[in-house]
Amino acid sequence: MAAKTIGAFKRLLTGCGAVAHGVRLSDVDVISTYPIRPYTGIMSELARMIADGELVAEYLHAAGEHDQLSVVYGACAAGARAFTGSSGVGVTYGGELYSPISGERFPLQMAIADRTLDPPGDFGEEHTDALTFRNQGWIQGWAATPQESLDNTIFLYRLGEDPRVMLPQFNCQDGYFVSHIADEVEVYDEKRVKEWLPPFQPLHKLDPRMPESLGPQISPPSGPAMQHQRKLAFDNVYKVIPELTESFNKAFGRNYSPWLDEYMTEDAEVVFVVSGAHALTAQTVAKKLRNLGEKVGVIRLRWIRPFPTLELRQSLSRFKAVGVIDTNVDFGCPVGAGVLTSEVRAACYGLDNTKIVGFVAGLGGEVVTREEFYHMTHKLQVVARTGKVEKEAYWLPFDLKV
Amino acid sequence: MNPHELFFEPTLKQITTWSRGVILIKDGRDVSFLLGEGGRADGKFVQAYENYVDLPDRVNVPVTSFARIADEPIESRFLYENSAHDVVVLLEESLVRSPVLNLITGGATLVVNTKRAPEEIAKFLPKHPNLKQIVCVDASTEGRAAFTLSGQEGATDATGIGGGYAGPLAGAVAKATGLVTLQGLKKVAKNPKAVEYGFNNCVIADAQAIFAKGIGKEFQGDTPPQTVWEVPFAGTVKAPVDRNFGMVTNTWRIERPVLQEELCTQCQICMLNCPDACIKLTANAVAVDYDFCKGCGLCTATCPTNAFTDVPELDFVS
Amino acid sequence: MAQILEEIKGIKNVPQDQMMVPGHRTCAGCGPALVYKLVAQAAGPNSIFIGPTGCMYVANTSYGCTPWKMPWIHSQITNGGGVAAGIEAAYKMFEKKRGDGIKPNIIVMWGDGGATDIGLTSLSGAIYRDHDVLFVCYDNESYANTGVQTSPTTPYGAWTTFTPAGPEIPEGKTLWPKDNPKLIAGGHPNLRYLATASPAFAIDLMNKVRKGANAKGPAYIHLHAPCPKGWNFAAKDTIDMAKLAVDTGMYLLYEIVDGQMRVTYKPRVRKPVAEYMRLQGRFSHLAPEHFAKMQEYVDKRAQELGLPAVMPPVQ
Repeated sequence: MAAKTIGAFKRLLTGCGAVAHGVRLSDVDVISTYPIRPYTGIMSELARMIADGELVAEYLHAAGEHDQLSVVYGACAAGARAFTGSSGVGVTYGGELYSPISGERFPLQMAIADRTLDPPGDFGEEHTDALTFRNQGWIQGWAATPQESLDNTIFLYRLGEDPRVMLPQFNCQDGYFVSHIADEVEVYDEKRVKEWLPPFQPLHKLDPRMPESLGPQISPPSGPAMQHQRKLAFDNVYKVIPELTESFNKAFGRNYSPWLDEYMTEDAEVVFVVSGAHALTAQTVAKKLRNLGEKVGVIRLRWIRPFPTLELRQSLSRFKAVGVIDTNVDFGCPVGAGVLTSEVRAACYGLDNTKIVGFVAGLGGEVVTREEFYHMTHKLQVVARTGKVEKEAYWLPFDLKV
Repeated sequence: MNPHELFFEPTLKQITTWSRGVILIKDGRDVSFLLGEGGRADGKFVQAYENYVDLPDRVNVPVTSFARIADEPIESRFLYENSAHDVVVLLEESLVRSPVLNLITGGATLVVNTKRAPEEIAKFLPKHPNLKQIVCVDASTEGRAAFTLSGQEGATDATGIGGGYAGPLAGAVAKATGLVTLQGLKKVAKNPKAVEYGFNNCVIADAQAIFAKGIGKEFQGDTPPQTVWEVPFAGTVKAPVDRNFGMVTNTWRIERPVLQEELCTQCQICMLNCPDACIKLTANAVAVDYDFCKGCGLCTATCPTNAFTDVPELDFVS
Repeated sequence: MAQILEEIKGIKNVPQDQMMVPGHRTCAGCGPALVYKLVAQAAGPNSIFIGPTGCMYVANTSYGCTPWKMPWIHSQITNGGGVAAGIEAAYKMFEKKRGDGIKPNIIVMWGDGGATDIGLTSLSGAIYRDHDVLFVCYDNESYANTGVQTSPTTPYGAWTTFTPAGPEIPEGKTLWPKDNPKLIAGGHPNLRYLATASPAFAIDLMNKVRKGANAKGPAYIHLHAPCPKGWNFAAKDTIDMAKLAVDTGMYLLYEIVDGQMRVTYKPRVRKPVAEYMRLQGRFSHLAPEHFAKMQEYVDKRAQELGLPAVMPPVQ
């Protein structure tokens, strides 16, 4: 039974709609769904596609997010290409499954449209939900536009299913800002994607014709080797990402850089490091300030896991002051900002001339304004020119009263 | 240069559409997307989106959606709502009771889906000095309101845009403001005839001239958005005394239930059936709490003596 | 629970004090809000309510305020049972250790998505442990707060955003719903009281709530809560829709006390399901064969309860 061919087209699509098309083009076999704002639109779109014959896939109504992740674990174990997604507390409710999925080397994909964690309920976004599980052995990165979220869907399946990798992927996007605001998206022809994304070839699976036991109990002496195997897989991801990015760009006419999306950084005095949509706001401010002669640049991190340690260290060594935007909470963490500030600082250990300051902004989904970036820039300029860091972590709007 | 001047976008026009949750939200969203896609067809830079904070929408609740049209790429991309309003569109006339003119820019236009004339609509508006035009068009002559749950929350609408009330309203915006062209709109609308109807039949009136006649309410100034600096401990709030003033709902009404006291037998069925506990016993009858009544119509529908009648909200001037 | 709530004999004896006051962001004509008001009215001020995520959490507390005059706490959609159990255990200890005196009613107001699906484990665990808690499910037959997606109580043939009708799937929803009252009653022998109720019979609903609250141990009440948004009908028709559900046998009213089941309302004539379904936009895509399947399903369940046969369809 074949799906209806739609062909290529360009239209205003939200991040939710774009990911749904990415899933359709990736010819996914099994989808497990459960509603939670703001990612629900992806699944509503997929339901419609299946009902209209545009996608042939099993679509299961799971009994919650833990069940969702369980379903795709099973589907992938059987050898199917599987997809699921969630937001906020849904992501945390599925928590038990992330390590088993990664450890079993099931390269399934989970879309996360970020949402602040309870309490209380708040539909606005933070990256906290997805970042909480950054240590579970999944590939993880943020799209900043609906186009990129579609592209990442296809890219991540190819990357995750590469025999040198075999790892699951968190395909993240900012809740509302990317998931719900429509932008022009180019949706590719099915054949073009099929050429670039071959069918899933599992390295182990459940098949009576070739019986094996997946996940037998081990004892501590085997521990290091078990975990080391995944570490080696992540070392491979590090190599494969640049290779596949180049291949993707060629096949689909894109221009993604493998790790860092650098904007006006050439002779920058101060630079922002951001992951996700707020980087685009930073870019408009950088452009405006450059017109006034102020040397500001923006680096957008595309992938958090694996973290581009060497690339980032090399890039940031050129700047006197760096501001990291943390749209997440990690109460009591080192330095007192958030997850990214701690990680960027760790990656840049040894760069004595690059001062790194954390700005916690956009919590609860609050807008990060261009005015706020303007004032953050000035704080960084003081650091760059005096060499002194008066404050290592700013919580907006409280520490940046404008 | 201060940041406000630095970031000003001179060619950006912001169109805010007010609608009613569930029953008219699809049309509200369609107005914004019609204007957005129409602007795109005209070669402009556009954004169009629903107000995320208004969702999930509830039956009758005032909801907003936005279209933004500019000659240059839009820099203020990630906002929850328009920062100011060059055009305000109302899908339903009693929405004039909501603060729809708050933060309108100089020379603003108000477009209302109504059978009433501009002067009658003006009675309910504050005499805002920035309002230039009041435009009235009866969108219902060209078809029924569109309804679907498809297309919400970032999913694409399977039913197409501009098939219901949205067409005539978008056409009226085009006629009164020129922010989009009629041709651009007709290219993207499901019912181009309806767009043309709105364009040709809307009634455009000079708002300040009407206000000068003494029609309208006192203008008490705009209310800008507030930064929240503090919340109660862990967000916990105290129980209300007898009504929750944190969510006053009288602006939800399209119609209000009016009681004929002599028909009321104090059977209390209406009190039992009101989801909002808005009806209380009085000495000889019952009384409706019009500060909170949403106009759902359940009291009218379930009263055994037909003592209630539902009357359009704008037929009451208060 | 220390205090015994008396049976409400007639509408004039309905308590006048509202525990859920005006001012909440629920739909005009909202069935769940209506039954919540009635439950709170029946339970009275000596109650603690637990509100798992759902319409009755988000809509009622938007934004940073509350319409409840009794104590209330937000829980996750997954864990209303566990949270209620913890509160009940605390008050038990206050009584044991301090002779504290007050024994509030502890009541969970769970949507169908929570009580029959993602929170089922939490519900079952709390009942199994014999906590003195009243579990109430307000059933509006979908995950409504997220924009209307299918839940295990969504009827066969209903359109939701996860079960849209299309050429490949003409019914929309192909799965038949769970029967949560049966599920809960069948497997928990220590359950003291179980009932189903409808806002079409508001006093009956309130008295069932009182019986559940009075029971010394776990009790479960399943409430039908018509939803104008999710089912696609006008706000003013909520009560009519509830009545029609009962008169067609689509919703059954009964209670179970000490393992004995008693039907609490039997329509004198049972109307064909099409009369109910044709009034709701969520069924507007269905063909005659789908209505026939639904009629067969309802007939079987109605027969089990001894309801009259369906009257011949109107031509």
